Amino acid sequence: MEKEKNGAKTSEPFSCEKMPRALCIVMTIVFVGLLLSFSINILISSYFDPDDFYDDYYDGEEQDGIFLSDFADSFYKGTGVRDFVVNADYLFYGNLRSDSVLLGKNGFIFDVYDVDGDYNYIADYVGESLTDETYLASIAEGIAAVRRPFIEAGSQCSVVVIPNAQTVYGELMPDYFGEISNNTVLKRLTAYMNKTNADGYFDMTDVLLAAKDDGQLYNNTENSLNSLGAYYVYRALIDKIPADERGEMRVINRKDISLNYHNTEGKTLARRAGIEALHFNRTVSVDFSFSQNYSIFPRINGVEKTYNTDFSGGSVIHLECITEWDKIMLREYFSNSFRTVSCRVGATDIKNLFETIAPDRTYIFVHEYQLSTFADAN
Amino acid sequence: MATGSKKIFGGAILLVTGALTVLRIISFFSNESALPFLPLGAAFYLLSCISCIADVKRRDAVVNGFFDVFLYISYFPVLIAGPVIKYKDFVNITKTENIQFTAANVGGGVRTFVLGFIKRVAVAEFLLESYERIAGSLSLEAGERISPAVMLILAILLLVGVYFAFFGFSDMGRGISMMLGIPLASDFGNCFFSPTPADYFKNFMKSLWLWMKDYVREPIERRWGKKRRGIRIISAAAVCVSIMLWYRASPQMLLLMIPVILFVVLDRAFALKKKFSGNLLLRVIGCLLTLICVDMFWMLIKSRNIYMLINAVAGYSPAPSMQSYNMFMTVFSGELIVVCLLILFIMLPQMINALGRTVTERTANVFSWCWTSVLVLIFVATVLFCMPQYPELATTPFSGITL
Repeated sequence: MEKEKNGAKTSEPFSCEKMPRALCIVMTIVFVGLLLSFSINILISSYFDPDDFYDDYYDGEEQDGIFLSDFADSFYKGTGVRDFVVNADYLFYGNLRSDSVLLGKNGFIFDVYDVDGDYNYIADYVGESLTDETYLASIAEGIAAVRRPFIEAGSQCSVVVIPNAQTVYGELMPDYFGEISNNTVLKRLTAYMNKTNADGYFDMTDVLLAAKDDGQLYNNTENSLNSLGAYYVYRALIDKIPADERGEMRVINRKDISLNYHNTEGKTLARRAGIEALHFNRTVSVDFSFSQNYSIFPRINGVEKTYNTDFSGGSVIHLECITEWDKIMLREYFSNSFRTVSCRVGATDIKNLFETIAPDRTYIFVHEYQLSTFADAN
Repeated sequence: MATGSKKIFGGAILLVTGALTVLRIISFFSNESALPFLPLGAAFYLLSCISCIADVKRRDAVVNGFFDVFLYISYFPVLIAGPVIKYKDFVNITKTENIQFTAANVGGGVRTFVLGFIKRVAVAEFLLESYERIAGSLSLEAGERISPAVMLILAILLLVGVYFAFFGFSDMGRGISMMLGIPLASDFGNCFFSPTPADYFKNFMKSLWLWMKDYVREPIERRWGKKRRGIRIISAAAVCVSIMLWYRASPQMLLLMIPVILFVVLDRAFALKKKFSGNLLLRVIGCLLTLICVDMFWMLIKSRNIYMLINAVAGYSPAPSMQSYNMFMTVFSGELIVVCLLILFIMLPQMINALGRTVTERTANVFSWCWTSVLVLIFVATVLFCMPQYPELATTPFSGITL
């Protein structure tokens, strides 16, 4: 709409129909000559030269063989583009590209749900997990069932529950969720086990909460203990062994170990979010004040043994771990404390185990997010 | 004066309408990934077929040969998302003297295309993805209820997201058409302050509303008399139901949409829009009711699940944690703020023009240069940052809202 005002033509500030001619030419050249060509180049090169074509790290959608979804997938998975998008999203907005993780404070990344199972960390954290006495009883029965073969074979067996990172570091969770509920499965299970005087069950929550002041106990980009956290678990278990049952052993005191803090590339949760190169994992390695004189022997029937020449006798300790990482962390301390320590990861066959070793004491380590497996096994 | 056999005309209309009906029925009972080769744009070019047949029958336009009709039906800029062009209008705008392949049209077309791209990819897709993320954390099988706060956020995200999704694609089509020297009028106006659903749909895909008015409502009223209120009610209901069916509403959804249909019908019968416009309070109430009605409609279309809506309305409970956390993270995320600023920037020309002030040509040119330059930068950022996240838009453009 044009008017005349003081002899000069006037119009609406944005007259969409009337663009300056020079602007039109510039727009056309920029669009056709530059942007369109660039976009087509990315499209074609991403499709014909895909990287990590079946990588489901970040978006998790499987290839279904249909052309259109192959095209869409390969375009996004062209590594340069994906990494740029993921990193820019994190740097500008603090977004993580996976719904299964969430960003906490102080560099911590926490699980939202178990990608391999149906456990929901957040629902449990806020006390929304459906838990009644029947469910707790079935978990308790499952724990008893897991211990039974070891006890029948003459080994004192304990189930040790390692809490989730958010259970110990609830203050680092987003403020939105508040403090951890008193109705989490672990808390209720522990209360139930105490009420029924169940033995052979250890919840490490209080131990780790009390030890927080000494340093970071968990990896900040993975729901797993670091060396310092593993020490406190080890120490809590050793302290529970009656003095007259310890035999020849060494108790590693806190002053016997010195810690080295260093950063590594982001671990599991950071990788799941696609920011492992940007979000480092603070981890701890341990130096002992004494010589470590144990040797590791190859696995037989899945069982790995260590023998420590500092001792001539003493108890045989067996560690049943869920993850390789737990085994590495915990074995370090137990192998320096006892003559014979055996470890096994993720196996369930008891018969094979007793053909290989005859432990005096067995510790079965489980994580808080795996408690439901005891109920399911029932 | 009409021409040609009525039987042939009726048969042709039935054939085309039947084809559209069959495609809709197939889509009711399937999902998109199961049938990747459903004709893209069928909803638009079948309307074009009906328009061509009707306009020739009514002698509003003359066919100059098969190629003319083929060109009209297959006019690719509008094939995916409109605007819906009537045959008589198309014949007019494609006359040699009306096609203006000029620098102004090419440049303007590029700008319109870029604007549409930003609306669809940077704005609409974020809003619709946020909607999916929040709604996706619901689990109706487990009997979860939807809290009022979550419903409100979902409603706003969907309403604005759908608007910019259709608007963006329409602008992209218009931009390409303008680059070819055939400028088309904008298909979307300000529909968020519409006092009635009819007014909303008049401003949301105006061309579709005008098409329905020309080929559904007016034939009914012409045949049985416009002055009779009953006929106006029937014609309004026919238009409303046709639009809903066109947007892939199933028969069960139509039952749930009876309040909306009634609202449209009453508007036509008693000129509600006029009454509402004269009174501020009524206008506000009308706007709110309209937004609720159209939101219900879009939620049904999007979710394809009438039980979700019933469940949402039937009962409320405190928000389950992850549902409200997803909402919290969406509402308080930096990304939403950026998208809101982007929306303001996109709507800046309309907002400034709405102030009614005029400026010198030089100032208008400066505005144009500045705004367009920033637009191009945003376009580059959208291509590099947003487009890689949603490459399926290139192959399944309405993955966010089924059409």
